[in-house]
Amino acid sequence: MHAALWCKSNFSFLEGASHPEELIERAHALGLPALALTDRDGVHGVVRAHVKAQELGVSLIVGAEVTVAGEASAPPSTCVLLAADRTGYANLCRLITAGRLRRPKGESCVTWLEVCERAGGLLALWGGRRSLLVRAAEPGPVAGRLREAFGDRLYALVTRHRQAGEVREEARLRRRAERVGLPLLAATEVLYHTPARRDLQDVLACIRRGVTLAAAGRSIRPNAEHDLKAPAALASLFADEPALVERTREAAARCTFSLSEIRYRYPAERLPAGRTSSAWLRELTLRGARARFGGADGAPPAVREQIDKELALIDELDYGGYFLTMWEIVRYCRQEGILCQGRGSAANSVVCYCLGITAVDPTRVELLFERFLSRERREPPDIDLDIMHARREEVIRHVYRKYGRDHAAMVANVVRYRGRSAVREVGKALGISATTVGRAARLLSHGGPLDAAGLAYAGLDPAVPLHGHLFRLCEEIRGVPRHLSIHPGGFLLGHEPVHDLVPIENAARPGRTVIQWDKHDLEDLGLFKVDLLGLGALTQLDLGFRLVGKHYGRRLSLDRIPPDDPRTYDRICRADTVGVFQIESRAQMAMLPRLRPRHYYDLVIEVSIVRPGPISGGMVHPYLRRRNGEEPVVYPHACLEPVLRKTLGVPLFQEQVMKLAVVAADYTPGEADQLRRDMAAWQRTGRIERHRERLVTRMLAKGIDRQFGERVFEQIRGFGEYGFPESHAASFALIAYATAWLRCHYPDVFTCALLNAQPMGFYTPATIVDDAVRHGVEVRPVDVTASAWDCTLESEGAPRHAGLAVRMGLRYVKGLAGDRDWRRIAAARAQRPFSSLADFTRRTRLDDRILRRLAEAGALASFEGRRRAALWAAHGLGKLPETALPLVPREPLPDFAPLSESQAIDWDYRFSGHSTRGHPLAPLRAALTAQELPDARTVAALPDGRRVRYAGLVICRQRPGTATGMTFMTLEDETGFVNVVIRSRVFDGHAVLARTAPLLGVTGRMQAESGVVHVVADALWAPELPARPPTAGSRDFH
Amino acid sequence: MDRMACVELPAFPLQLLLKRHPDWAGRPVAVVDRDKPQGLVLWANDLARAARIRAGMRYNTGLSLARALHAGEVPPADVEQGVSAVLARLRRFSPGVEPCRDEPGVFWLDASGLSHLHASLRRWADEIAAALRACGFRAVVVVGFTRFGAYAIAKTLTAAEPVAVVRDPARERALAGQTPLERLGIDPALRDAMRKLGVRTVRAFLQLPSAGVRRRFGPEAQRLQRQAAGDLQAPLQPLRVTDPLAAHHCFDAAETDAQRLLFAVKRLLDRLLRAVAARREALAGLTLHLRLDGRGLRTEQIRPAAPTLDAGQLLNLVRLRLEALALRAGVTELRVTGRAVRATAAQQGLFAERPRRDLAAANRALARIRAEFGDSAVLRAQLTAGHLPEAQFTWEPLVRMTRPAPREIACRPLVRRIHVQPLPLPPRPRHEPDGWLLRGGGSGPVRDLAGPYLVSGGWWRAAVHREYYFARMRDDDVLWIYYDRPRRRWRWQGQVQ
Repeated sequence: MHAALWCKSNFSFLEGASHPEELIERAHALGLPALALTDRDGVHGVVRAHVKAQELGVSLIVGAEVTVAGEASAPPSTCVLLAADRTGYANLCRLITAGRLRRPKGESCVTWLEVCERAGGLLALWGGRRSLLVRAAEPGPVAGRLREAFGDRLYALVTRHRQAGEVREEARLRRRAERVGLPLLAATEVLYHTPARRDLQDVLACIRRGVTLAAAGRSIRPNAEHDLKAPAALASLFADEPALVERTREAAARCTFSLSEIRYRYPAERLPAGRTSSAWLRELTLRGARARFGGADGAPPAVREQIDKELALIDELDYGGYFLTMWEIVRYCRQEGILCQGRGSAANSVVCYCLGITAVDPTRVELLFERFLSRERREPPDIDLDIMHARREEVIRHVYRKYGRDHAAMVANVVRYRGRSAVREVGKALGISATTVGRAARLLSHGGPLDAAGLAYAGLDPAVPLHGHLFRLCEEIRGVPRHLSIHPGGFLLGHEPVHDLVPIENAARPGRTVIQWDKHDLEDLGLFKVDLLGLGALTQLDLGFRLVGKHYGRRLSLDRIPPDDPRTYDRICRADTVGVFQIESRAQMAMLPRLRPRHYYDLVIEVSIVRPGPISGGMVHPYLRRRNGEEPVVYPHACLEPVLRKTLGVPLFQEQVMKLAVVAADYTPGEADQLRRDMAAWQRTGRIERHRERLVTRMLAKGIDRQFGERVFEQIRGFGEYGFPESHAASFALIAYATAWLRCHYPDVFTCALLNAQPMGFYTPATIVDDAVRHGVEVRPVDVTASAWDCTLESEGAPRHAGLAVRMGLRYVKGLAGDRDWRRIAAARAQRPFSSLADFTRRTRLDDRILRRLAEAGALASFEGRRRAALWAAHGLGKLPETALPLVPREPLPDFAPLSESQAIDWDYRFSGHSTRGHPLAPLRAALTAQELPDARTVAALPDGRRVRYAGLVICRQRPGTATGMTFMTLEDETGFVNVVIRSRVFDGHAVLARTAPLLGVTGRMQAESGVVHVVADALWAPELPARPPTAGSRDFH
Repeated sequence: MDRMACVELPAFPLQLLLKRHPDWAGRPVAVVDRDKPQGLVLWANDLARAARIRAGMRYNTGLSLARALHAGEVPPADVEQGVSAVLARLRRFSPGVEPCRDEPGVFWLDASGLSHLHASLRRWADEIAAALRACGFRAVVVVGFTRFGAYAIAKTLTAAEPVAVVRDPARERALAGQTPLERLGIDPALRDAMRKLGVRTVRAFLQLPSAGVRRRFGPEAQRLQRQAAGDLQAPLQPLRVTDPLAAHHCFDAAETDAQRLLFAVKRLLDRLLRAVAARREALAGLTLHLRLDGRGLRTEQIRPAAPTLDAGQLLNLVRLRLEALALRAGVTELRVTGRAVRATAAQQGLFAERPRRDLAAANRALARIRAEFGDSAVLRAQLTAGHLPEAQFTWEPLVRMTRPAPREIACRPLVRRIHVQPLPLPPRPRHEPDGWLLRGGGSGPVRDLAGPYLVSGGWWRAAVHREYYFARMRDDDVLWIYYDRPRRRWRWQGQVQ
């Protein structure tokens, strides 16, 4: 029996071919007492291996194969290091960090001196084909230095993979080891858990080196001997010297470190003199409670009781520092005028509410604190902070500044192979022509599997062996890590340096560092994470509040917006929600007239109901029927009434299904917690399936209908795909209401802020502008004499009843740079107004290309109303030499044909992505009417079941996974939107048109119910019009 | 009055691609700049255009529009070759043919005086179109008066009416004026600028102020405008025909004597060398085309060690080759063609001091061996990075001997000599009372066996799994053998020395 001491998982990116869990499972099956995971320059996979090892009772040794710089021109060599104790693990992390941070992303290199300095608590296994000990050149003084640093913890690694060349290398290694006095130890370099993965390992090696298999030569391994060997196989390999095998167990026994030993302390905040973190947190909370709930006595007794309960638990679990840190970040945001709001389960906490971290009063919507923090779970709380996306970078810089790069690092995100990337890279390695592979990849959805039908569709024949290999290997490579990227906003903060916990490496973005673990790893180890996420809607609100203050003299903030405004809800009920956070999508708009929200909590439900969980659980329609009084509110079992009362007996939220499992299926707190974890990890592991039978059977035993149980389980699976807890919805609903209120009462401000917060949301600027115009907002075109960089509000000449006019900003002129071109225009305009185009050109010194672009976008209209004449002039003026006097050569102006209305709109779209002059279909309305094609407003008024032909611009295509092959499209014209439902049969029959046509004709039948209007398409066609209307492109979600 | 014709083969690279792939007819086809998904579409046929595939699009994007889109590269060398082929064909119709440098597929022909040779210019033009059609090309032909005029009118012709003969210069100007600028092969930036300004035809372009055009769009645009206006008439610059380096001789009776054949070659070679010397070039290669009496044509390549004008050296090589040949019949016709290059500097160093190792002499000797035994007679082994013994080297022609640069090595490795093809060994018997007699009884049984060393792979085309052993025989020979597991056979790879 031996211990496998040199194993590389697929976290040795593009080298190992097995998941860490697979290696552990195989070790367990083979009966190996211990396995060392020694990935190349990293510990990326150790947490996954640790969790699996604990589950199976395998002893996991944490280590890494480190790359060490060679002397002068010699190539780098390697050395395997194993953590014997906690000090050794810290040394390993520091060593890898040092190597990683001095090299570009994905590379690492340490020096022998650093290895010797960090030898404490580490075992070194020196050997393998890339080590100095087997190379032809003598290792020089390195051997002696290592012996001195590691003492008896340095072993010479005798590796055998049945390669002829190894005999000579082994002889060399034995000679040198004997000279220095190193004990020998047997090993193979494990790259996969079973020989069946050899093919994948070959492919990964080819991808890493950018070669095809046919040209790979010695870039790939010569045989399949890099699997995890059974004890008998290794014994046979080293039959001539069994002591070497025995020694592996001796070395493994010296490695006692386990990841469970990691004790994590959150950074202690600087506390005011004489206060403990607990006392300071209490003081801040109570101070916040007074501000939030008013009154000299502060919060009502129930709230005070809840505060005491929460603070006691926080104190007991020693999480005070975490809350203080979040409070500090929020305080920084407030000081700097950066809009932010906590979301996620933190909204369940009244302490978070009082500290200003969240904006939802949990006592108002009866949120459960236990969902956020519980004694039984003993898991660190998870607070996600949404920050206005335009200024998130400032907050990230603040965190780095405050905690230092040693104590703060961003969490990694593991990028794995998915459908398209798998086909592309495997196909390339197999040597299949790039255009063929491109065609196959094109036909896949991003994460979709590659099936035989898909292959045939792409012109590949599964019967051809090469194509068969493509099919097989694409399946094998799916989910294999490709590289690390950076999490959108996750930070790991530590009291001790982070690089004692986990190595830190460079991210692709300059100046950014990232730890080697992702958020799942942190969760598995129970480490704290701070999520600083960018949210466009907060930027939009911040800009909106500033504009209201500036132009209407009213101070607004999230908590100053009047609640439950009937006019706002009227608009929401009509699905008049373009640009409203969370409820602007086609699917949400289709739900609004059915759900008819009238209060804040209705919005919470609205935000959560159009999600995979409730949809796949079949809960949407029962809820709507009960809400509309079409069916009675009944509970599957009396015990479920307290759980489901808020949602009329229908489970809609993640918290509810978890509670349901406890109440109806008698889940213990431990089981419920496992369910929550499995739900979160469903896509990773598929562990959720084990709950199906348990849930349904136990519910049946309690007298609950099997059908209900099955639906609840489907819903749980849906939540696994995209979990949406009530607390999360509660935070989002606040922002949704605020944006809807702004849209209702200050449409000019709303439009201006939304345009300035782009890119964000569901709709293009063109649609936002058209929608604003339809709602009576005057939108003025870009003009170099009036526009700022951002869109602005103008009172001059605007009709009093319609609010202010929105002046489009120069940021919308494509190709114009804010830091260069706008600065010149602004500086020149600040001196004095421009008198002519020549004056503008001379004083701004904009180059010829920019001048032309401004002319094309119509921004020079104040100087020359005819756009082609302006363009001709811009062509000339931009090329004039700089002179002290404003000299412009005189020349006759050619007689250019004026732009038609349709052309003018076309130019607007091409050069600024929108038009204030009209909708592209408006000039073509006569031609459309001549073909008896109605506009969107007319279509909306047609009765249910009526046949209809309609043509409009496609602004959105959506094919959700929950819609069984249905495609939803939103078409637009100058009067509004038409939602089209396309069945897969119709879609496939008109695939090219459906996927690509910017202007689409639809023949179908009206489906109008509860104010929700759809056209169910029977046929699609390309309308024949005298001109092709421009489009701003569609937002497609497949 | 001088007449000038313009022949245009629209989307010439696309036509070449379709000629290369006749099976692509009836499918959407595009020429791309490189065979990659990100390759840019340069030309697309009607079916591809009907699927909204346009030049400038990525191949990937095109695929999303038409799944059956077929695409291929047409390298500049192929285009050049195609132009040469068309040029040769057009020369049959006019002595003066000028191919357009900027737009492959456009040719100008001197049509002056040709109406006397042909029934009419119309007939002449029809014959050109028919001749190109017979070669598999689609072409339009315009007989006009000016270079620009004929070219612009050619751009308006269609496949239905591919030939036009313009009556007078005024008519040419009028027709050319109607030509859309989009169709002219002008600078894309100028074309786009004109489109934006609403200047769509040649006539509208002519109405723009000339100085203004120059200031805004550069001297090239002004030059185009002047050409279109007839102010700038460049005369036809037909491509000069260079005589090929060739000479030939027909024998009255089939020649069977190698000596006499050599003298015949000498006469032709002298002629060739004079022509080459006149061009200040040297002969880099020689091809002998020997027409055998009733046995077809035989071609032999002769390559001297370096480009040369030395007839003696060349003849020596020819002699060696002819002596090595076993001709199956007498030679009825002899044709000698040569490939000339500019003389190299090395040739000028003939009198420089020579080192003791004369590489030039070695190269001459190798040339003689090549001449006598063929090009594949002089090879050298090049190491390659493979795992299988036969994949660890490749043979490549040794073109030129270079001075060796030996490496210092500490330990000389054992030499393994391998068989060109591994030799089959008899199956290993289950019972070996006298030990394993690998090569029969002669070498005795295997004394020691080291291994197995495994080499496996090639699963993506033909799986290989070999278990290698070193077998020390009784006579101390070390054999390198392997067991081919998929085929269940023992083979003898080589021997260790």
